[in-house]
Amino acid sequence: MDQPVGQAGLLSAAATYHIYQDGGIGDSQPQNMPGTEWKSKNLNSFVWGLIRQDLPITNCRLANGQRIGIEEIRVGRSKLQVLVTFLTLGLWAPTRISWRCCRPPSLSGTLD
Amino acid sequence: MIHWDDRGAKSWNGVHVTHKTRVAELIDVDNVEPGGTLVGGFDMFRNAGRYLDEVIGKARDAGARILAIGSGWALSDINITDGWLINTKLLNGCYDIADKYFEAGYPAADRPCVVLAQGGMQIAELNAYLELISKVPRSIKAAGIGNGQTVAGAVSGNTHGSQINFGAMPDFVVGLHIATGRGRTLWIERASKPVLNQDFCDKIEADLIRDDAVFNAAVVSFGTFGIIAALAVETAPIFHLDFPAISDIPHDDLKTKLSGFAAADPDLYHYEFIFDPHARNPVAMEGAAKRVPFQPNTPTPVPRWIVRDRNGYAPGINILRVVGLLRFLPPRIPTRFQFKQYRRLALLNKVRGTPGQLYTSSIYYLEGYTESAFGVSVKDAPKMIDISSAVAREVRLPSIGQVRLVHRSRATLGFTQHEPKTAVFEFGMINDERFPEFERRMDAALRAEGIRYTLHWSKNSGISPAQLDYMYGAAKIASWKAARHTVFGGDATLMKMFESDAMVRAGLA
Repeated sequence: MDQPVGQAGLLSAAATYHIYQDGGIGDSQPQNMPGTEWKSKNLNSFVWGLIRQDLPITNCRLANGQRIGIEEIRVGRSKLQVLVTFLTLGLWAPTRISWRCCRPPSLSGTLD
Repeated sequence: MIHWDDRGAKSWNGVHVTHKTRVAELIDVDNVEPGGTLVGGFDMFRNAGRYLDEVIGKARDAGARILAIGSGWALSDINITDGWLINTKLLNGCYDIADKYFEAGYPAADRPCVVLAQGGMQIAELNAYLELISKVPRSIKAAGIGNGQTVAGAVSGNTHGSQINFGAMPDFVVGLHIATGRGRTLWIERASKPVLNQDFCDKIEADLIRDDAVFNAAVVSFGTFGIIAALAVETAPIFHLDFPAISDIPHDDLKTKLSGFAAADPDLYHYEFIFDPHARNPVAMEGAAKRVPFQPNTPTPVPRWIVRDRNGYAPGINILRVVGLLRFLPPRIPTRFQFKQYRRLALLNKVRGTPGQLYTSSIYYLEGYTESAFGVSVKDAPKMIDISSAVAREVRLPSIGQVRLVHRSRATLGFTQHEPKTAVFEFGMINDERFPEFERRMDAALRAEGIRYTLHWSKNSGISPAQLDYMYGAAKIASWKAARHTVFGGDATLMKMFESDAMVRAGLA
């Protein structure tokens, strides 16, 4: 499932945050300009953050491996994830992370 | 190259989350050569065509349907498939074209205004290239209010804007580079307006089709004629639009004004009005802009449609689902609120800027939101105000009506093709059962009045064959199908692969 948290319906998210790039050349590119579709992963943190689960992102690359960066991120918790965190007093704190990659710089010039 | 690194079925939805699906594959295509080099120029356009043709061939081998995504901007299900979904957003190059590649008859003075944009380029990127990056500043001739769509998606779905003396986004396209899976790509132009020559086609390894009927069908074809690799776009020397203060106009005066719009002021570029179907004292807001000379050093206008406050607070993704629960409220209350907020946040008001600076709406993630949009002749617009208001009141629809006037399109299934101008009536609403009910009642009411209408391809709850016939007539539908047959060379398997459910349901298969 590559859906960000909250897209499954009204009761599917307890909290969501959205981080994105803004502005651009001449301030004519407000809000985001993603180059790929959403990918998502559930991450876990244990023992109040003493053990964390990292998320190395490897898909934000062109076919030759060149990195193109992350355009936007969604962070959120489903109601189940909040309940787990509450019941374990924070010993286990899962979160869902979703991201989309940037577009590569636009190639331009004259066809000659 | 084609990215094969994340294989398998996965869930997918467009940016507005109006429809959800599970696609068999989600595949990225970019401008990297097999050797690993990111290439530009003719190599880039030629390779992109090859890669897209190759991926279509792979889908054929797998027995899968295939569809290019664009930005996933459409609110209708024209971008929904259970087959292979091709992400073209990484194909975002844009080039000017040297004189020697133009047909001799194409006016020399217009040649510096033609660019070749890859299909995955975002409208915001195209604006930045034309207005800010290139040596010769230019502007696109037509723009919708948003800039998040890809060029191919905006054109193919007939994004309209409000260019009263020009047309909609498909009308600035003069050439299409399309991959169909036949081993060679196609370059399609109008026979009545040849633009680029055989040398150009040889450079991108495309077979040339010069045919008005084929071009007019392919330019608004919502992904069913293959995958658009690139488009030749006619632009204009950079200009400014001057929006005076929004004015208020009583409905009676507005209706009188609309009746005379056949002879619009030639300098008028943009005209729209917003009305409240539930208002007891019917007064519309009116916005208009003239095209004026570009003035360097004019401050960039503050972007509209930004709903976050200075601390970053914005409506959450499910806020409309909560609002949808407030059915006990009389619809006139939320509609009046929308009407006021639209003036404050959305309408262009006392600003001057380029199209790229002014048309910058990229609000999405307002999930659960959808729109219904009907095109009618401006001659029928006065009646349409009354009909749509009555239907909105019947179904208790808490929505303002947004109306934009557009010059008629030549696209065969362009929904902005009404004479002498098309009035596009749009109603934003929560994506619930009132959406199809609203459109069903509108269809009945418009037929009862004998008003011919068209539904926006990207903003409808579904089109039936009977509706399609009422909208376009049998001759245009047959012409569109014949053009599709030509583009695919009559290959039934390829044609089937590009049939989406929305297209089949409409009777276009």
